[in-house]
Amino acid sequence: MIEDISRITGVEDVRTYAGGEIIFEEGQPGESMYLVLSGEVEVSVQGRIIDTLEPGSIFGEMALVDNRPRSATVKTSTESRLVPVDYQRFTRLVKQSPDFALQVMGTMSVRLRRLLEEEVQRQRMEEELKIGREIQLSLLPSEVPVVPGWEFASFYRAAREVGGDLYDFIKTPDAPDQMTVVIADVTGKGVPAALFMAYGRTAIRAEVMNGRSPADTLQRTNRMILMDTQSPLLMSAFLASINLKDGRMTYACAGHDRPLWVEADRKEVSVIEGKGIVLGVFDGVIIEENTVDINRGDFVIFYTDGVTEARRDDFEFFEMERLVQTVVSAQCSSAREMVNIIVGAVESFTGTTPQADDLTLVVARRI
Amino acid sequence: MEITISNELGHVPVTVFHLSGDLSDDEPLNTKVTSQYDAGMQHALLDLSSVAYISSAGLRALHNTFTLLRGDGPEESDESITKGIARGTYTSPYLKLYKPSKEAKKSLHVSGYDMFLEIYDKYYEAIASFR
Repeated sequence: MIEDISRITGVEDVRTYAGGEIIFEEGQPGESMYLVLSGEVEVSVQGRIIDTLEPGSIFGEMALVDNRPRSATVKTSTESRLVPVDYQRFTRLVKQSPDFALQVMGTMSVRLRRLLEEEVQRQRMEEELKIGREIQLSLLPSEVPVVPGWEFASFYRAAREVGGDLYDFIKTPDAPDQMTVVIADVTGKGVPAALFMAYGRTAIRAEVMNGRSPADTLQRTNRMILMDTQSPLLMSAFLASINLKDGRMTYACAGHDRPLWVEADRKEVSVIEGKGIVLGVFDGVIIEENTVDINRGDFVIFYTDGVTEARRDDFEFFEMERLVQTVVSAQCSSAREMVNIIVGAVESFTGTTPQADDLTLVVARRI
Repeated sequence: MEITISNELGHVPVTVFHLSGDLSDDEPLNTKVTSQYDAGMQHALLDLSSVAYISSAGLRALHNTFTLLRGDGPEESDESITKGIARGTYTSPYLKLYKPSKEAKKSLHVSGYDMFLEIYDKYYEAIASFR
């Protein structure tokens, strides 16, 4: 190929580019292909480097063949000498030298094969993510508990195929008047986060079923995470053990968003404060345990940061202030209605902007 | 996320990571921090003045940085640290934060990271705090 191109080009055609210079960008019209004489160039698509080309390689030939805009951006990574071949020279070379035409076709064929392999791999990954999502969804409660004197409602939506949010309702046979509400968020997304979430769910469930208090459960779960996993993932969690008879809620927080408490008689919204660090950071982490008394008509709103950090296209966040405003102005007569109002407010705020984080919401109301 | 690095000399040499954009991926910060650590870095200041948002993956990157720089003496054992945090007497002597935005500050508070990572609003005060 070098010989073919050299035959119809002269020294004056060779161009020298400094390292880091852009030769052409995605979407630009393509007027020439290039031969790399020396140096090295990087080929990238949407900011991701897909190939590095060395002397003897060609690039930019696709635009000459299909007359469509450039499909990639090419930039020199070191000082490079390139020979541009415009459409006229390209067609002359194809007519004069079947070897040249075959070599161009060979280059295109290699790239096409690679694309096909990547597509197969992408499809396989999508399939795995789909299975992961099914497993994850099967670990979330299929329905909210129905208990006299209380209403529960929930909402969950993963940002990608598989997310790391978790919520749970745990009833222990030894304490029929107690209900533990769990809401948690694993750092990161995708299959690793979902697997870690499954691990965290099992650990928390086991401790609660053994009659541990919320703070004790989180401390022991923290220890298990540190002892049993090699994963660098972390988990924030809020646990609330509610006495269904008298409304006393004992809770502990491990670096999770604090729930909102809407008191019916005072018509006020307050944040249920608690001190604690996310799970998986230190062994022996000390987590505070506190209690509040939930009265008839009160709402408790548990959520993950997918609510307050929902973002619209101007990068503005939904934020705690909007959540509080939404809750204050909501005229709700049920937990389900409160969930729908909050989700509706988040959705009308974000519009069609894709979200980076899972969105999970659990509302408890004492009736 | 763009990360540039500068070096300052206070009581000790301090490597400053100037972060710009959302801290929503742990990989870029982990890579830069690891390469500086391999080159001998002991004290790091993360300049968060141009970071709008820290995601949970970003918190993981802060944790990785903290863990990498953490000493192995008895005063840096889990037990000493957690006791120190509970008493309000421990913050990392090796990693500190400079000027996080309101949203970033919220993430640090909710996650409990502000219990062991000091936050400074004045740059040279932050540099001078490393000893």
